[in-house]
Amino acid sequence: MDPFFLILLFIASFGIGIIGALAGVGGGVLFTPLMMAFTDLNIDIIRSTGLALAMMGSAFVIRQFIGAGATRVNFILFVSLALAVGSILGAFVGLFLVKEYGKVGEAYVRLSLGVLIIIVATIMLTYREGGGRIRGGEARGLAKALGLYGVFYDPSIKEEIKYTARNLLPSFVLFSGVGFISGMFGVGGGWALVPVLNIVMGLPIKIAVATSKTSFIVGDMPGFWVYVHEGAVENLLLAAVLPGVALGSIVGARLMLVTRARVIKMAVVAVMLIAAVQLINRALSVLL
Amino acid sequence: MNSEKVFANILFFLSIVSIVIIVVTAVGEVAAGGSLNIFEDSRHGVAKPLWSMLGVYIFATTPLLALVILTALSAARKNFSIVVLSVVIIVFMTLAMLGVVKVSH
Repeated sequence: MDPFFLILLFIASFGIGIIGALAGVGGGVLFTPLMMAFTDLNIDIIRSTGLALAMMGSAFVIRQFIGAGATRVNFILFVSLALAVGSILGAFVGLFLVKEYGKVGEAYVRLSLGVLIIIVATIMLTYREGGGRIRGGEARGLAKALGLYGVFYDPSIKEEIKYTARNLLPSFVLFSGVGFISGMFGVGGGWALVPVLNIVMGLPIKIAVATSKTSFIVGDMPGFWVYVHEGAVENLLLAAVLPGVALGSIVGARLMLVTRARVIKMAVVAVMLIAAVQLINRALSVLL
Repeated sequence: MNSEKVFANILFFLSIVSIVIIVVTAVGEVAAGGSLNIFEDSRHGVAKPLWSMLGVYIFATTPLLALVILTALSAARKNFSIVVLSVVIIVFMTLAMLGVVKVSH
């Protein structure tokens, strides 16, 4: 049963890698809830694997996205800094809950994640993209000092787009909040990063997706180390999941520029809702 | 090759190396008598031999190494916006790696 399960994990991770690269999510948001909902694996190991999955997917698209001009290191570092701060705190709180409160703590984590996913799925459904031609004007102030501007040639519309980051402080605070959730639940947080990058920071949607996807390799690393120190990392699970997500991410990154993100988002929302219902159901079975 | 592409390439290629090592060590664990049953919660928190965690350590250290090289290259090319951002992240990463942030039992 187990070898078969590992093969299934590989295939699922491949699919998650493709969807993750297309939608700018780490993939942990799909992997972690599904594993928590359908298996009895230790919750810390699931979360650490979810973080590793997000990081690996990010590492495998970064060459393509930077090479295509779809994101810049400056943006990745800015987002990663905020994510890193939040993910350390989040991992701490997540581990603390399980250690201090046992099964009940796990149930609360499952319930919180289920509710959170429904909220995010609703946001994704109702969220109207700012469009690919948003321009933030000329770079000035902190955005200019930190190099948070760039030019991207979008082959799908055959147009060169200039972009500049805006609202840096509120964006930083929001990114930190995403990092907290990321570390606590073992999810990459791309489902929240993309809207913040697009709406609050004013980046074109494809720049937002590419920046979000590439930020996890740096931003989630401190949170992942918390799990490594706790011994909450399972080699065999990683061996099944990481090759799958790596290959899937390469395919997904190539598709990203030519596929309608809306279609992919709908698929992601569907999976998220299924997982959320399962999570809430299992949590309530313990709590009630 | 500019520093951004060097950064991306380091992350990419070291991740490939770590995947290979993780797969090899996982197979090695099973060959050494380990179980294929990943549902054994008892293994959580149990100290494992260093060799079996080598791939994980390489993977978890890769971003730090890539950032250090990016910082050095950017400093040499006087791109101080990248230097400032990466130095702060390097500090956070190092603290996390050293286990400064720990959960009390």
